[in-house]
Amino acid sequence: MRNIVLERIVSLFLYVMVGFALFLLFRGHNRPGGGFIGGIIAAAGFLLYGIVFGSEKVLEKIRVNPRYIMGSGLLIALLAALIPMTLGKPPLTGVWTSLAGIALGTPLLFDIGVFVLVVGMIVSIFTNIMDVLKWNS
Amino acid sequence: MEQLAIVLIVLIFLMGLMVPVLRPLLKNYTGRILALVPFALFGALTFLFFSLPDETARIVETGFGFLPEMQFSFRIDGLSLIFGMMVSGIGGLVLGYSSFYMAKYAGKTKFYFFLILFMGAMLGLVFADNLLALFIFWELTSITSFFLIGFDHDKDKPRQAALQALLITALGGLCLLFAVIMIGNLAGTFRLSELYSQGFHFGAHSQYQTVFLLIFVAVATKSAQFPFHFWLPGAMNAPTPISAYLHSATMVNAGIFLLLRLNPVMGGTIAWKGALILTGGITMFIGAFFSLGQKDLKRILAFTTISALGTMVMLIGMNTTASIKAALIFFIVHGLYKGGLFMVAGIIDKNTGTRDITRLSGLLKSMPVTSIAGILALLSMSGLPPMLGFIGKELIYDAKVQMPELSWLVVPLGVAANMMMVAISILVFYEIFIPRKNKPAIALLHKEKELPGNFLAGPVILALIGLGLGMAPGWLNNILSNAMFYVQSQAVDVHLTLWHGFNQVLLLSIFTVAMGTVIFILRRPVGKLVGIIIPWTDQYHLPEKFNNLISNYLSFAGKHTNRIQHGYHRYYLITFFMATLLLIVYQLLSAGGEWFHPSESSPVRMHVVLVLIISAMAVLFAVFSKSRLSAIVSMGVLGYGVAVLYMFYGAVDLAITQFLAETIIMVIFVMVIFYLPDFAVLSSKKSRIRDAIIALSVGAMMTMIVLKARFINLEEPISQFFAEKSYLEGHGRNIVNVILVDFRALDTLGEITVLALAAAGVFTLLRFNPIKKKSEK
Repeated sequence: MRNIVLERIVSLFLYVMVGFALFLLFRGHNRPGGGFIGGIIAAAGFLLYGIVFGSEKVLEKIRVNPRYIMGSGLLIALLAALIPMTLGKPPLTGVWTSLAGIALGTPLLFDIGVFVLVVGMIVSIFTNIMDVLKWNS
Repeated sequence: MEQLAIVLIVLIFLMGLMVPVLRPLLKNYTGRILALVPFALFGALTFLFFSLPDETARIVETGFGFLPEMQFSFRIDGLSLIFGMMVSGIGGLVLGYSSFYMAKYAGKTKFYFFLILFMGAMLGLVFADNLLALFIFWELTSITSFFLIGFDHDKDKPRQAALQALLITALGGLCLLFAVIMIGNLAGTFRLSELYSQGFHFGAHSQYQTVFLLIFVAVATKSAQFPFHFWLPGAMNAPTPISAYLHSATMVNAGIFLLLRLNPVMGGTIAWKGALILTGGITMFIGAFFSLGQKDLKRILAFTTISALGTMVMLIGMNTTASIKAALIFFIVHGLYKGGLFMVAGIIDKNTGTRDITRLSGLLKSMPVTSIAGILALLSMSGLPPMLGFIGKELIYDAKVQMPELSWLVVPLGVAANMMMVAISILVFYEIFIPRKNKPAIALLHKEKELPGNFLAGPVILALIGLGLGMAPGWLNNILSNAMFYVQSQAVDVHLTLWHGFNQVLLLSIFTVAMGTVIFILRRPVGKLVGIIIPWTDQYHLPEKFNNLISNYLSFAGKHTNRIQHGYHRYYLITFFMATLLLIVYQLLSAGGEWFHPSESSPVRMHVVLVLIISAMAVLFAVFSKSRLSAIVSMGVLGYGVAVLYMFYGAVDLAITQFLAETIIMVIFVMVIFYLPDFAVLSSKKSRIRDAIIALSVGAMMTMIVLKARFINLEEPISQFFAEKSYLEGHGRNIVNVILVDFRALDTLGEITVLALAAAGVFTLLRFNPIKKKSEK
């Protein structure tokens, strides 16, 4: 039985969740938040979406295989680890530049990597479980 | 030019790694086009070959390394040039040759990938100036050759042969590592150039015997010396281009190279001479002897390789100027003829469908070019003029005759081995090339003219080089002098000539050829004799013994692993908790000191107590609940309770994470739990009581740790450091996050890798079900 009200709310709410997750990711360096928390919240948005629409719709929504998302997260974090090495510093040293008064650095890139990986991981796990359980309403 | 050479070596590595990308672009031309890089390297080395002055070595620093002691620096001297030219030149020819040979094989990408990486590793080994770098390249050759030997991985035999080769050479590799570290510690440097310039020689040191033993095992395993020789004949299960390459210039010759490299550092002692001469002599003899009894052309060649390696080891062991010179020349000779012969064997195999010498015949008529290349190589193998092989053999005899104390042993052994080499050369020549009446000429699949040039080029070029160098050996004088300087650490002038004059050595040669011919004429009785001896030695068939050893070891390990890794999750947990409990409680009690300080007591806060009571009730409910779902939900309540406590004490990030993780876990749990059967009481009352006791004690332990932790400061707390540096150097006010992504980023990197692995684990657990997949389709 379809519940149109729920479906509308959830599909709108997905964007709210992901947006809030991104917000938390970027403010994480100064206030509570960060890549891990943001990642879980974004993934929770997809999880909610999946419960209502089924896992296939989630995969349609994100278009990319979640395992690739996971892998790219790991690669982004690795990149953040390697960038300082090109400047002759030990790996994972924070390298900072300033753009319009906002300090940007490899730790942010690292955090983004964590975010992407966590989203990919949770989405991958729950879509797989749902698939096996034939949870496609 | 030195830099160019090194850049080309690096390029070969890159090219190997790029093969998966390049092959779709180059299609059938892959082998031929990729061969250009080794040829370019060969060109650069040739230039150096002519321009390198005597008694100098060029060192190229790359500035790249894993450790300060382990820089990838390269040295170009006579020795590395000789080996490097053979590796790159024959490598290029083999690549061109493979282009046609491998045309119908599946998995060509894999083939080129490993072949080129193998080539790069071998070049790195030869040119390395740092012993640790040399070790790394040494291991790389072992690993890549494992994949090359086991190329037909869907067949049983190549797989076994590859595993055997890997296990044996890896044993040697480990020995080499220990030896290298010990040499480095004794000398205070890992650099060959420093070792050489210091004139370091530790023959009198008390640890010399150990180091020598390790080096000896490394060399004997890599270069297939008795009693480790048995992996080499098995290794010819690989496609022929690989055999040609492994046998002629690379892999097995790495051991020879290592001996020559280390000769100035540790050569010439009694142990060195005794062990090398003895093993080399035995290997030389049995290799030649076993080759007589074989029918498969490649197997014949494999055993003659063993014999040749034995010869080289023995010559190096003799450690005289003449013998080192002979060893160097013989390496070139052997590389040229063995590469050529293997390629000829491959061409014959491709074109007739067999390598059995009893079935092949009359190829001289039907495949003249191949045959003439093969015959020239055979001439070189049997040491007849005007090939380079003749000079090589003359020098070997010369060295042996000059060996004062041991000439009574090495001369007869060497003559006997060479007689058999001559006999086997004539036998191969007679059986497969000469047209005979009582043996029908074998049918060809293609006419020789139809075979592509790059397929025939390999053996022809190698044979012509062998011939040319035999005619004009003076070309090698300079480079040999240079190599001799670095092997013998004294200046030696080398003059090679084809004609040595009429002397004792020439008489020996004539005698050898005559006796070889006699053996050939008497091949039927000799064949019978060998036929008797081989089954007798087969009782001690080393490859099988080795396989049995390995499989026994594996089953032994399997039994014990099954005992320890029983697979019962509850017992793992019990073991883990009990061990932790005992260790930590012992530590806590023995630490002494106070557990609780009255001044720290603060007024009881009602809301905290309330949360604690709710959490405790949730736990009790979970324990005694009869339904899975309610147990899970009550565990969730506990999780939220903990998160609320975090909130009360100001750990906001922690609390958020706890809330979120708890939520996601709950949802996924509920999803899965729905499909599980109802709770059933499977455990007895006894075991439940045991579990309860363990659980309570672990809880008590945690409480004790938390209480005690406030009074034990092993190190200065670093929270102050984090608080200070967080904003100044980490540009963040949220210390938790700065720690996660900056101060302790390596931990985080490890953790997220674990997360990715966990997700991969879930995926494989859920999806990897081949039987189900088939039935669904």
